[in-house]
Amino acid sequence: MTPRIWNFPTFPIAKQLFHVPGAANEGGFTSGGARIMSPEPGGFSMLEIQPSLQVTEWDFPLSSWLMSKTNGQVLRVRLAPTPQVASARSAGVPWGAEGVYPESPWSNMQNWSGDVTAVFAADALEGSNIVRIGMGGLGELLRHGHVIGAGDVTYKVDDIEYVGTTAIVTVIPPIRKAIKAADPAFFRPWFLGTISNGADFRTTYDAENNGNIQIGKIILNEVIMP
Amino acid sequence: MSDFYDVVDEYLGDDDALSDIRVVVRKCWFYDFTDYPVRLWDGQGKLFTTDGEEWLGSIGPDGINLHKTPALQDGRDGTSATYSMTLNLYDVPGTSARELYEELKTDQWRVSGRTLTVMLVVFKEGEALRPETPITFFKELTMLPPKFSETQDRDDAGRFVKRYSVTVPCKDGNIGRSNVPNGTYADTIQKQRARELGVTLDRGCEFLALLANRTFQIP
Repeated sequence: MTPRIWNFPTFPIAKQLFHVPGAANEGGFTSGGARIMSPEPGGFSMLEIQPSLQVTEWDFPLSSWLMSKTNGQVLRVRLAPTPQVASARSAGVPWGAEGVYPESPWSNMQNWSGDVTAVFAADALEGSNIVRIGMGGLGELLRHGHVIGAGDVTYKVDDIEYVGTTAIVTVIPPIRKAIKAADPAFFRPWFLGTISNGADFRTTYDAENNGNIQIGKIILNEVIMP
Repeated sequence: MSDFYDVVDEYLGDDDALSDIRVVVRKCWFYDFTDYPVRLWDGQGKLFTTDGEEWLGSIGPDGINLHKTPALQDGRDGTSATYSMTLNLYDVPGTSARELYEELKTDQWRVSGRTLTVMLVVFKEGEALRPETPITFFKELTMLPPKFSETQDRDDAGRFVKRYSVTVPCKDGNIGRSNVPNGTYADTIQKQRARELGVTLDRGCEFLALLANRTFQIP
């Protein structure tokens, strides 16, 4: 039996970051004075989300719902279009219209016209860290620091090289699920995670805020589904 | 030298530069339980080695290794240390920690007397969880009957949590060396012993009975 996957609520958010901290073993100060750290092979990924002030709690108390999903429930998050998401920005502004509020409606995707999808050009085995993506007519859109997705897993572009229209991408963390050629490569991926700081982001509803609530930064740890 | 030590040597270099001391080597643990071999490694994520095996990483996102293992000592001094390998049990998809704990209890007969093989894996720079260098043998231990433990305490968020863990004590090849060998020299016994080892006839003890209780004077 696989655990149930919940969709992360689509409420307005203020900040978001996908990163792959992994871990490292510290070495000592050597005679040369360098601080040596050995990075963990593989590592894992995290997603940090800072929701903005929730003004629709009376109708949709999603913050209330989320604050009880901290006991290891698996949440599926669609990454909001931050600069980590490769968009067709070079070909135009991803936000289609001017004068909308908020200016970057990261949660409701209003006027977002930057979604791009490519396909993987070759198989990649679980545990390896190099994928090939056929970029077709997209050009050299993907850069270091962008994210790509395969299935429900998000990867960070650690290194990238273009050979013709194929992008050879080194990703972190390593491939969690085998990738087949012609699988879609999402540039605005999905992330599976569990909330790791349930006690920290929890906030109470206050009478003086009239039911508006500002919950703290949510940190999600990567989940590897069987 | 095997490929493993070649890679380690290459990374160690001449030991004269700061970067020479960076070699990422981790232990892999192969618990050969009866019918249920288990492979763990000290890292995050699933490791795939060149022999086609999959090893489950036991380090969680907080950097804590759920598989607690003591440092292994050199056995050449003839001592036989007891190593206690502990695994904290957590809820896994489809099975709660408690169910897992109870199931493991009923399966504990699979443990005693089986071997635990420790291997070493080396990661080259930029290599993910599919290292191309074959893993190498490090140590072999024999498992003793396991121990089970369950406790209840409060975590940081104020919740009561039950914690389950299983410990497998292990001994290295020096176990039992100080015991008196369980045998007597006699003609029949020696011949039987030899037969078991594939020697048809061992007459080495044929005259033992005649020589028993006799006094010899060395001139």
